[in-house]
Amino acid sequence: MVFGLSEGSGVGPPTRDAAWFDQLFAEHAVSVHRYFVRRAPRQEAEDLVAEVFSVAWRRRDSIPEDFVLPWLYKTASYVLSNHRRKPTLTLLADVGSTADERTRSMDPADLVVEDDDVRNALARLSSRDRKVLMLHAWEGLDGEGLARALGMTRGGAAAALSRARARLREAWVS
Amino acid sequence: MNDYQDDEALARLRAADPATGAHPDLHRISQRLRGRTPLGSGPVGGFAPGTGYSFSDTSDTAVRVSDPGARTSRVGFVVAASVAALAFGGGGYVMGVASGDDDQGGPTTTAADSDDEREASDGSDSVEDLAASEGEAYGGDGDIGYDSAAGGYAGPVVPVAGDGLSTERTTGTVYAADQGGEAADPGALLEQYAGALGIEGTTESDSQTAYVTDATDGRSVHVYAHGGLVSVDYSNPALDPYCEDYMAEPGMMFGEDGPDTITCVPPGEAPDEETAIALVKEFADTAGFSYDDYEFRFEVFDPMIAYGEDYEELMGEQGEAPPADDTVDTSASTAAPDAQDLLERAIEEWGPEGYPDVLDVSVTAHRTDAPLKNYQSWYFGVTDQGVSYASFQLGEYVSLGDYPVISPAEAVERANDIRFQQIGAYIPDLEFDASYFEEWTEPEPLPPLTAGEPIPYPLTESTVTGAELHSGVVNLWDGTEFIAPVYHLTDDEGNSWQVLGLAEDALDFTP
Repeated sequence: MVFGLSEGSGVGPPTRDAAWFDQLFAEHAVSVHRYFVRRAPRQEAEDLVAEVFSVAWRRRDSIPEDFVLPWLYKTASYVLSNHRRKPTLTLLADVGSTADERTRSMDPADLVVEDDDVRNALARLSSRDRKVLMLHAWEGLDGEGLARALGMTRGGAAAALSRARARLREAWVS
Repeated sequence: MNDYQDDEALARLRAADPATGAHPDLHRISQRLRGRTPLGSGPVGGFAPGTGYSFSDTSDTAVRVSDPGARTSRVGFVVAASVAALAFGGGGYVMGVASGDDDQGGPTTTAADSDDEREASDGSDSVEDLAASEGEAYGGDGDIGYDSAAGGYAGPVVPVAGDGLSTERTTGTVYAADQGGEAADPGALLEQYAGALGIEGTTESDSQTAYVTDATDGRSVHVYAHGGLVSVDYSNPALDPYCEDYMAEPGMMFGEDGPDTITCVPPGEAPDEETAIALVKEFADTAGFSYDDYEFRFEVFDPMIAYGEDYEELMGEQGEAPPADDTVDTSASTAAPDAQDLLERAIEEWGPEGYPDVLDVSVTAHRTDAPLKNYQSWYFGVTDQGVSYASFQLGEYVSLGDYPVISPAEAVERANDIRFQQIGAYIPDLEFDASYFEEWTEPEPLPPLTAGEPIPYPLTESTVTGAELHSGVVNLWDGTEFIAPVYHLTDDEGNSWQVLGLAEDALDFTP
């Protein structure tokens, strides 16, 4: 899996300019969109993607070169958390909207997973376990990439995944 | 892959991926990003003076968009850069969220630094100004008008060999994991390493995996055998910088056979290169694996998302200068008090206190004499207290000898051969080397479907002008993996294909 940006020249770190950003968007927009499709009402996914790339542009100097996509996923998790909590401006306009409260208070896994067994098993897990498992199974992350997306050490991520898998198996059979 | 074969729950979870086939409306995202980022203003485009943005207002440039859902490697679809810049023309909509700090020290000289944006990013834009410029950005008539500029995938591209491609065959070495190696018995390997590291607990194992968690301190070793190779993971949770966070979390941290809790060893400052590598070697010596043929590299990563103090600033930016978007509020000052409260709580939760300094470093080890030096590297997470995590692979790739390799011209034919399209060949050395900007001609709209007429199914031929032979990795469906010559074919349009180079004489097609 390619986590970083493809480097045309392969010489030196890329200048983080407009062309770099175009490439960032081109290479990862679809992946980030799918991240949100998996976790949020689909009609909101594109706005959330835009938020992630907006943050990416502002924070471009802090994006680790070889782990761009995990960084974007990590940022996406913040954006999603903020979206649900409604503290950001994206959400301020929606305060008091009962319709919005309803959709955002639902667990996205309930909205989007059609396999009853999977949904039931996920429902028995902690949100932390669900987060780890989704990143692994759906975003295809493990090792350092998973660690970056979770904001943990690689060891911590490996242990978290191992435990989450064990608990998923238990939830599956129970 | 074996994860999924062995674990029905995980496999079903993966299969339940709700994003299968999902694709974003890139126009909509681009629209949301205008004024906030320089999307579409890169060198692929022209410059539109007075707009605050440079961008392509023609359809002759493109950005290749990666689609991870595509099954064939290197497949992308192409979006005209003008789409990304849609609706910029005629307006200068920018909002005051650009942070001056962001640009400090950054090597960026982009359209986003243009005068127009600086003027607009001083935070002085009133709601009315933003609304007015928003209207302008839409061309004043509400017509964002991107449909006509839409680029996209123009049908399959069929590679054909250019005249300059060689028709001469060659030979190349094939390597495979030594099946007589250490992977034969993961249980025995586990016993060896766990014993050396003083890990005592209940061992569980099967033919492929074995693992143990220490009943007292929670350290664990996993051994995973695959295709003649073996991977070993070691974790010492007490040294993990997030140990105390884990301990604060309810639930089974270490499984039934592990301890209920452990004593964390908080790290001090991150070790320097010499110390970190010395700690890794000490760990290797204790565990009992040789690093004679490995060279070590030291890396300090930024935090995954290094907001730190900046995150408060980021939140402040959003609070003071929100997107001028018709679905959002436009000023924190107009927000309901409870929203402000939520904002403050979020800052508290996600702000600097939530993100301590990075206290561990990474050490990787690369084998100097391997056919693919960087393909199987070792990784260690290290604090000043020792190795908190280790992942290393054992097993030898041995040469199977030289095998016949098809010519570059034949490789192009093979790129069109279905027999070689279902098993991917992957060139690790090229993983980060691809061009994503290229000239683009807007495809003509397809003719309408008409009863009785042939259905449009356009195919484009493209001449392959480059063929490089690399060492690549091929994985077969049962986990068998080998290293073989793989061609990297390129045309002048930015397309590329990776094709197994082994001649048919070298392959056994028996089902």
